[in-house]
Amino acid sequence: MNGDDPGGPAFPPGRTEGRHPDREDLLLQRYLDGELRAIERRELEARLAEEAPLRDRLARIERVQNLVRESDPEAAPLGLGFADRVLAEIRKSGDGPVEESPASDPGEPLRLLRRWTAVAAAILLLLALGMLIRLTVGTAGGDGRLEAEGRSRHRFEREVLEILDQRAERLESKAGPKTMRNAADGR
Amino acid sequence: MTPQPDHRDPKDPRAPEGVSPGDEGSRAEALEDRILVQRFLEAKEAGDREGLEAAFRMLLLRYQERIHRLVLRYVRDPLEAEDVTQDVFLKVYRKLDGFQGDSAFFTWLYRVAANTAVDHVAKRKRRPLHLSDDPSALVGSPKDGEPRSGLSSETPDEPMLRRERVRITREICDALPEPYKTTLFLREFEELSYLEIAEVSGCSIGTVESRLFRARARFRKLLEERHPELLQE
Repeated sequence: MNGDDPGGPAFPPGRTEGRHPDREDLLLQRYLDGELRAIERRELEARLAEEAPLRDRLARIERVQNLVRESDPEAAPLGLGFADRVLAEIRKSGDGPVEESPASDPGEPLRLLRRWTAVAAAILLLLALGMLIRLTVGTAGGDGRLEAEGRSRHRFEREVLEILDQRAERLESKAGPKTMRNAADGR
Repeated sequence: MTPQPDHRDPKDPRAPEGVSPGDEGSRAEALEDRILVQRFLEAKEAGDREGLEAAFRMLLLRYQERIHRLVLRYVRDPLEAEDVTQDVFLKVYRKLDGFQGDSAFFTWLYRVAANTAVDHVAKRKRRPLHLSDDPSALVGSPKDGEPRSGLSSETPDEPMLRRERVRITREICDALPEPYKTTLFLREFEELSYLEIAEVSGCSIGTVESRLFRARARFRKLLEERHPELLQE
């Protein structure tokens, strides 16, 4: 215990910054930081049990310690692939392997997998798109066929009608004068 | 008043007695780091590109999240912190030849990371303000519509008060000058021992103790000036 300042507060207001820490300050600080040997710790704990001012002094240091610890920021996760980015930066800067050897790159299999997955996904998408188009066109084709069938039937009917008309005309033209003649003849 | 668990190097004459289970894990990690660094250097010597990249990738994957978080404490913006983290690892890749192996790899890595982050923040301060400097864009900042200063809100809303307290204490941490800020961050957030902080900072354990004391004293002083209510129990 310091005889000059028994139980004086650690970090006394107004004169803390430039003050050289005394033996007692350092002892209390080492105690809180777990830096005392077992025998020193036992001795100090015996004193703390007896001396209230020493306990107050310790409490002041501990209060600051707790406030500082409370200010610790929450851990923020690093972005994915951080190690890959650092290694890529090393290669780029020329400090590392100059040429990127696919065999030596531990990230290469992953990149290949990603590339092939992308290609496979594109193919699947195209296939799906093709099927969709086929289905749509197929449906539309059905309607088209109906329309085409309708059109050709219509044309066929028209042609048949034309032929029938022509025949009728021919028949009329053959029978016409005769009939007229017959009528003229008074039949 | 709970002291931290012991996690000191038993070879250090000032180190406390006993070895916690965490020490075993740390030592195994340090050994793995050493092997990876060795592989990296051998691959570089042999011109083995695959080996070089594989070893560095392993180191990267082991530390990328921790370094990103460390950088985030200085930079505050996650995306900006990601860019700075990338710079850290580019530097590490270039400078790994110079790593002597006298200290643990991670303390060397932390030194590169802390220096890069401090330099980045210093450069940013010289730049005009841009969007990502907006405190409202920071991780864990109070949401719009919440009070931005003081704790005079009449609503006894503990989560809101806590967010406000966090905002204030971050502001004060950001205002701490170097090397106090880094010493405090390495102790309170990374939970490094005094010996490890000394290795990262390239100073003695006594200097670490003194810097820590001054960092906490400055923190308290700034808090007393701006928000004394936070110091009341």
